[in-house]
Formats: sequence, structure tokens, C-alpha cells
Amino acid sequence: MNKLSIKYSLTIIAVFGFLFSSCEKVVDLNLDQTEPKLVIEAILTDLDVRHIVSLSNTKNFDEDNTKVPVTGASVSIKEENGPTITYTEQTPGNYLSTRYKGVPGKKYEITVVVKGVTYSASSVMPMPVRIKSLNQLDLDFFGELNKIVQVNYNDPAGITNYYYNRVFVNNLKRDRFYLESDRFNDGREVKNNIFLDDPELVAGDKVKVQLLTIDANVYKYLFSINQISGSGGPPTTPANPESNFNNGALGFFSASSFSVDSLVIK
Amino acid sequence: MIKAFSVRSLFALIFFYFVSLSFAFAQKNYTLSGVVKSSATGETLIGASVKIVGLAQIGASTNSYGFYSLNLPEGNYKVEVSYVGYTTLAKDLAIKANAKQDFSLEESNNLNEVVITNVRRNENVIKAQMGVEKLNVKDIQNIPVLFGEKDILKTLQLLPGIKSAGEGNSGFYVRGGATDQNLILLDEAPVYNASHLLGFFSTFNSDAIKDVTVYKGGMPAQYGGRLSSVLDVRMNDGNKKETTFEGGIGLISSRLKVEGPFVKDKSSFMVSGRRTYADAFLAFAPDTSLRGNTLFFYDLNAKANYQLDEKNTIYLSGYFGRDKLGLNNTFGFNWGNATGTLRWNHLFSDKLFSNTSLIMSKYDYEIENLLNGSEFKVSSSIKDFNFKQDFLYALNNKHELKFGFEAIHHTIAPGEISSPSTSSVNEIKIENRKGLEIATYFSDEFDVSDRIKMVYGLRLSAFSVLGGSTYKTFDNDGFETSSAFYGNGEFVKTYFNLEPRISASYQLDEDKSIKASYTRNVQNLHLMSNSTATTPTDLYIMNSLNTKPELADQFSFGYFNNFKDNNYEFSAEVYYKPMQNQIEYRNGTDLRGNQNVEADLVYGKGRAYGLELFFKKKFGKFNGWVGYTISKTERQFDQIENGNWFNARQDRPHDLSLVGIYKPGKRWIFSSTFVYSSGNAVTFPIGKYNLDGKTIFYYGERNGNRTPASHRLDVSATLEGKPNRKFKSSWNFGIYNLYNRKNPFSLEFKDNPDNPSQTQAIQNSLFGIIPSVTWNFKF
Repeated sequence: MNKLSIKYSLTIIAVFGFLFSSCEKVVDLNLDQTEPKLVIEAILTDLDVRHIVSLSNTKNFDEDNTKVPVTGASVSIKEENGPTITYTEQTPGNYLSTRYKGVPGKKYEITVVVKGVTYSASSVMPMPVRIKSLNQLDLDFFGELNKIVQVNYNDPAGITNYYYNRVFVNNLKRDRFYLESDRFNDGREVKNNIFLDDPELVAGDKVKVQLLTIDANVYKYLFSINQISGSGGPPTTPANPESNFNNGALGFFSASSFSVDSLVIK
Repeated sequence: MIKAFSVRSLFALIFFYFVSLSFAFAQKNYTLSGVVKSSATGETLIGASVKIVGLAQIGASTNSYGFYSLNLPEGNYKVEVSYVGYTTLAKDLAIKANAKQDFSLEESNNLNEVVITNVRRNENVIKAQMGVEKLNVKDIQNIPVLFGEKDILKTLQLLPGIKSAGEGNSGFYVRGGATDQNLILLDEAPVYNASHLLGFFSTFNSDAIKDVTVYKGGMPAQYGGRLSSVLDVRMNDGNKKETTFEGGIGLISSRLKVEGPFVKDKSSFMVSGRRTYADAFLAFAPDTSLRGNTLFFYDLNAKANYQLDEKNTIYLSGYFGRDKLGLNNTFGFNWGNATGTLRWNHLFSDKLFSNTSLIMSKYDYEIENLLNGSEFKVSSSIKDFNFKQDFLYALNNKHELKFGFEAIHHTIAPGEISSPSTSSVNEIKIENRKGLEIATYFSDEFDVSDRIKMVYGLRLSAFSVLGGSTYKTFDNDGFETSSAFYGNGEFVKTYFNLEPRISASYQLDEDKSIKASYTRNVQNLHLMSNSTATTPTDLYIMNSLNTKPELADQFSFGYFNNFKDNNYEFSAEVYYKPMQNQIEYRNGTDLRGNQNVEADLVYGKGRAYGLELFFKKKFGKFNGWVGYTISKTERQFDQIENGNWFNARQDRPHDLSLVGIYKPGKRWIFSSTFVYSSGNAVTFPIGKYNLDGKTIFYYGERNGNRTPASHRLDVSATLEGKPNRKFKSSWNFGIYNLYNRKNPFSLEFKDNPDNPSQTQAIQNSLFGIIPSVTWNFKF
């Protein structure tokens, strides 16, 4: 709900910047380096598919952005009072399960063993919430027409829900985490505004939104990242967010319900 | 706790103290008292010096209402009255009985004195008070500032020990304190958010301001409630002689002031307004969709006074300011302060001056979302009602006593969301918080001997957390441990604190002295800002069951030396300030509509220390100063950085400022400032990884790195209109950042837009070279 105010603050700075010659330049800061750390990306959904767990290592700031895969790990997920699903490495660093459908309300525990060190995390799959529809809204920011997408869904009343919207434009995933909670609209028909900039949407763009329900820990983890990067308000003093993995692993494990919809921008 | 130490017993103690003093020092003395004013406007002068020629030890300064009181044995005296920017007045008086004598000073035309000045030429050396600076508002127009917009808060930042919170920012850090640890008073009313437009302008329109005093340490006992500094700003009372108009047209804003007498010499008023017009240009935009947007702020200062008789004067003053931003049919955001002060000055006797104040202060903001289907309005406010009683008792030549008490009732409405039934947003109201702050104080300005002077005092403050809402307690990990509702009028918890204050000077010779001070300060209201920039939505919280009063003990020591008949002034001050019960957020705290903010708070310690050097040329065609500060500010929290000490956000080792003012003739004034400061303490990434398609940075030690250093040269020239005309005007030309230095405003780490497979560090700079011109008039 504060996205508008952020957008607004940025607009003010932009107005000042435009009037008074603000500028940006690339600087070389000689950043320190650290030992590589393990990063785990694991999402388990209620779709009947082969789920993926991806393992990589951190890199130095001045290296390129390609992932350093972590190979030869053992990965498994245990369902509360249920089976254990074993993952096998398909391509370097990417581990796939057998076909399996996660069950809302159940607790899942993931175990990853890399070079004799065990990392684990757990997540409870929230009750499913499905997208009803997507629609387009045109907004005017100081004469600049922005096309935004609204995600419509019914928030279940009486329970706390957190959402992660994964947004794709022309089949490319946008790197922002579009997070929502029902703190302000518990039990309501929600119209969630998705602002897409850099680049802005243009007519003909195909927008796909995947709505994942997430638990409180995952929400907090992703929210912290947004805060630091300034997409959740003015930037805060950066700190490393608290992962739900133990033993110092980065990343997160989320058991999520899944739904998807798409539209073409007019 | 010191519960036994009740308010009543403190009063009894004070009473017996000065009753016994008055017996001890009772002599055949008479009192000379009165008010010092400007002869042109009738405006009272604050801090004017009244002294007896040939009797160095007898002298007084006028208080905030222009009042002074002296004790003299019977005899004939020459009284000398002086005030910066005014011609010194000498008058022969025969004292045979208690006498009332007002003085009117003529404004001197050639202001060859520097902006920041001391009344008496060597007052800085002999007075016991340390860590204090006064700004003469009339002259700050000569100092170059951003957009040519005169700003007392930015001029203050040129003094050692007072640092800017960011380029072009009116927020400031004093001796390692955060921006919310400054007590900012406008006619005694606290101003909760002293900035406009994201901090680029302060709420103080200098047209309406008479006097500015800032205390960095050794705060007198009548002030309390914040850890780091006191900024005491007084508004003009209004011209008592004639009605005048004054104004200016600048790059960013226009100003207009009207002042004049209701009843000549008895009663006057002053109204001063300022409005920016960034949005005025929008109205002319070729793109019609731009025209529905708003972006402006305004300030309105108003004051009136009425002298009922020689012993009673009533003052009423107020401030209203607001920022308004709006996108047509989409979004609205406005915030602002309102303050009001009603005061009654009463003279019980020639020696006992009393001021009674009723004060209210309010800060609020409102955000409106007008988007179809998700309309909502968020509002939040903090509101104070304050009763204050101050006494000034000029006991004798050695003792000037101040004592009094105050009670402040605070109400904080952290946030309320309202929405129409068609909106998908639920209505939410976070419970209001109430608190009662009561304080009583006593202080004595004591001239122990010709060489030793001291100001000592004691403040007893009590903060009561009041009922009317639910209070919870949380453990170290933020888990709730208890919850209880307290009814209206119930006292949930009361915190008592004793705040001793002492400052003493020892004069080595005519122009050298050493001084030392110890001050304890307590802060009961805390500003919660988890961002690196101040925003209008930053939230105030009060003490509660979890949050305890912040405490700071400041020890300082200084050496003061004037040269060449007091034409040059040098001072060196060192300070050490440990702080307790400091507050930080846990990572990932969401402040918006947070019912349990306290669950996300952690408490720890702070420490700040430093050395401040100040060298000033006070008089002559060319004057100015050099200020240098070396300092360190750190914090320690068990839950952050594994409990290690880390640099506070406001830590900046070196700060240097140079100010030069040159007045070659009658009409031109040239001035220039240069500032240099070390980079801000920030946290840099030491690695990166990819998470669901996004590049995430892995960060190193908190605030363990620095942005590049900042420096800048500003110049300005003022051309005064031809003198001796009824209509006076002046032009001010300025250039901010003359050599167009790109100073870092923020550093950003992100993917290279031209090559997304790489990351880069981007330095954002706000202000390049900016010329400005302002035209001022007065008639």
C-alpha cells in the first residue's frame, strides 16, 4: 500500500533532479570479499509436477552474475506424517523431484547435505488462494501514463495470508519480489496493483502473474530484501535477511499454493 | 528508582535553598531592572548585555523576554548596554532606591560583525556556560545556501559539532546524536518535524525569527526531553512603532511579512508567510494532465502581544505549516506542524520575573489513495498540551536563580486507516498512546569569585505511561510475554529521572579560560525511522513497559582564548557522551500499520566522543570562522552484529567548515563557505547471489564502510539598495556548489542495465552547480 508513496517520493526526487542537474555515475569502491556461502532456492507447490531445488554459491561483487552451481548434494523433502521425496540432480546445481503434489496445511521439511554439512528448513503450505482475474489500469504520474496490472483475488477471512506475485513480461521474469499481506484487507476482494517499470509496460506486452501463497518466515525474508533494495520504501540500513535455513545457508524454502493468469496489455 | 524524592520535597529543598541564600547575602542593595528594546521597532532584545562600567563583576544579560535585573549598592553609575548590530548605549544613573529603567538601542548601520556572535566581547571566555552558540538571524541572509533560501538550520550546520544529516538537508546531528535527539522549540513549543519536502527546507521562515540559540552540551536545567541538543528559536514580537511590510521573491518561494502596532508602544503583531511555487509552474505545463498535480509547502507564523501594564505582558504566537503533494485522482499526501503558545510575563518584583505558558503542538500526516477499488486514507498524529511555569530570581550579584515546572500531556495516534465500503481495504485503527511528562527544575548561575563562575542545577523528570490502550511486553526475541488493557486515567508505569547539570569556568587571565561541564539528559519520546532518510511518515513512540527512557551523560572540557583585544576567538572543546536505552529495529521490520512495533525493537547502548576546534574573526571588513570536528559515534546491541560495537549512521570522523564574509563598502556584501566532510558510514556488499531471478547482495560489517568524502564551495553576493529611503530593497545572488562537485547522496548496487550479467556501484548526486537570485524588499 505504500508503493504509491514510494513512487511519489521518487517522482519528487526526479523533479528536483531534473530541475537541478542531479546525476549518477558508476564508481569503483574496492569492495571486500567473503568465502563462498551456500544459497538454496526451493519452492514446493500444490501442482502435480516435478519440483525443483536449486543450489549455488555466492560470488564476489565484481564477478559476473552467472550462478556457480553446487553439485553432488543430496536433497530431500519430508511431508508431515507422509512420504519423503528424494530429488536428483538433473543439470549442475538443479535438483528435481519425482512428480508430486504438495498438500495445503501440511508442514514440509527440506534437508540438503553438501560436503557433509546438513542444512534444513521447514515451511507450512498455506491454504490456497487463486487469482480470479487480471486487469489493466492506466495511471497518470506527472503526465507520464503508466500501465499497471491489477491482480484480483479473494483473501480468506480470519487468517493471516502472505502472497508472492511472480511476474513475467513476455515470458521473462521481472526480478522484483511483488509481496502482499492481508494486514489491510483481510477477507476482502483484493485488487493488488503491480507497478512495472524499467521498462514500463507497452501495448502488446504479455503479462503473466503467478500467485504463490507463502508463510510468514518466507514473507519476512523476501520483505527484508525488498526493504534493503529500496523497493519496499526508502532504503534501510542493509543487513543480511534471516533465512529459514539453518547453518548459515542463504535463500529460502517455501511450500506454496500456486495459481496463474495472464493478459495482453492494450 | 528515586520515588522517595517527590516533587514536593524537591520544591521544599529549592525553597529553603534560596531563602537561606537570600539571608546569607542580604545587603543594603537596590535593584535596577527593566527591558532592553530596539528603538526602531520596539522589539525586545534577547541576550543583550547590561553592565556597570568599572565594576566588571556586576552585569546581566536580558532573558528571552528582554528583561534584566541587577543588584547595586547605593551610588552613581555608568550603565553600558550593548547588543550585536546595535550601537552601544551608555547612561549615567544615580541609584538611591529600586529603579526601573528600560533601554532603547539604535540599530548600527555598518554591521561589521560576524553572524554568530557573542554579546559581550569576551563573554565566550568568562561565562560558565559551554557548548552554546547564538545565531543572529538578521545576518544569515549573507551566507550562501541552497536555492538562496535562507535557512537557520543549514547555517547552524556550519558550526563545529553540528553536522548535516545529508546534502541540502535541514536535519542535523549534534555530538553524535540522531536527528530526533534534538529538542527543537519554536516559542517554547516543540516542533516534531522541522523540515519540508524531504528535508530540503526547514520549517523556520527566517523572516519571522528573532533569535536562535543552540546548546550542544551543558544544557540549562529548564530544558529537557531530548538527549543531544536544544535549539531554542524565538519569533519576532512585531514592530511596536510603525507598520512595515517586508518580503522577498526567490527561486523556490516567495515571502511576505507584515508587522505593526495595535497600540503604539504597547501592543503589536507580526504575520509572516512563505509559499513555494514548484507547482505554480505545473499550471503552465503544455501537458494538461500535469496541471492537476500539486507539490508545495507553506509556512505561516503569527504573533501578537499586549502590554497590560508595566508588570504584565501577554503574548500569543502560532505556527502553521504544511506540505501538500498530490497526483490528480490517484494519490494525495500532506503533512505539517501546528504550534500555539500563550504566555503571560509577570513581574512579582524587580527581582522576580515569572513566565507562564500554555503550549500546544501538533504534527500530523495524511495519505490518501484514490485508486478505484482500493481507496483508503491513512492518518497519524502526535499532539501535545503543555503547561509551563518559569521563574527568574535575580537574588544578588552573585546568584541568578531559575526554577519552575512543566507538565506535558502527549497523545500519539500511530495510525488509522479509513476506507469507503466499496474499497478492498479494511478500516484499521491502532490504539492511541498517551503519556504525561512532568518536570521540575532549579538552577543557579553563581559567580563564585572573579575567576570562577558556574551554572549548576537539577532537573527532576517523571514520565508516566497512561492507560486507555493495551500494553504488551516482549522478550528479547520479540515474542509476546504479557498483554493487559489499562483504562483511561490509569497509570501504567512511571519513570523517574534525576538530571544534574553543571558547567563551570575558571578564568586564567583576561582572555583565557578553561571550562568543564557535566550534563545528564533524558528522552521519553523516540522517533522510529528505519530508513536512511527522514520521511514524513516516521513514527514517534513513547516510553512503555518495554521502551525505557533514553539516557545520556555528557562530559565536556574546553579551552577558550581570545586574541588581539577580543578580535579573534579560539576555542577547543572535547566531549564524551555515553548513552543508554538506545533503540534500533530488527531486520525486516514493517512499520506500516504495525500494531506491535515494540516486538520489533531492540535496545542497546551508544557512545560518542570528539574534539571541536573553532577559530573566529569577529570584527572588521573581513570576518568569518573556521570550524573543525573530529569525532566518533558508535552503538552496541546484543542482537545486532553479534553484540559488537558498530558505527552509528551519523558517524563521520572529519568535518571542516570555513565561512568568510567580506564587506568592502556600504552596499556590497560578499560571502563564501567551504565545507568538507568524511563519507557517511554505510554497509557495502561483500558478495552476491541470485535468488529467483534477482541479484541479491551479501553484506559485510554494519556501517563498516564509507561513501566517498564530500566537499563544496558556495558563494554569494548581496547588493543593498541605496540607504536612507523609505522603500528598501536588496538583491542576493548565490552560487551553490561553485565547482560543480558531484557529492555522494546515496550509493546503489545493482545490475548493469547495459549488461545485466554484471553488477555495478552507482553513486547518486543530488545537486550540481546551482545559481540563485532573490530580491528582498521592505517598506
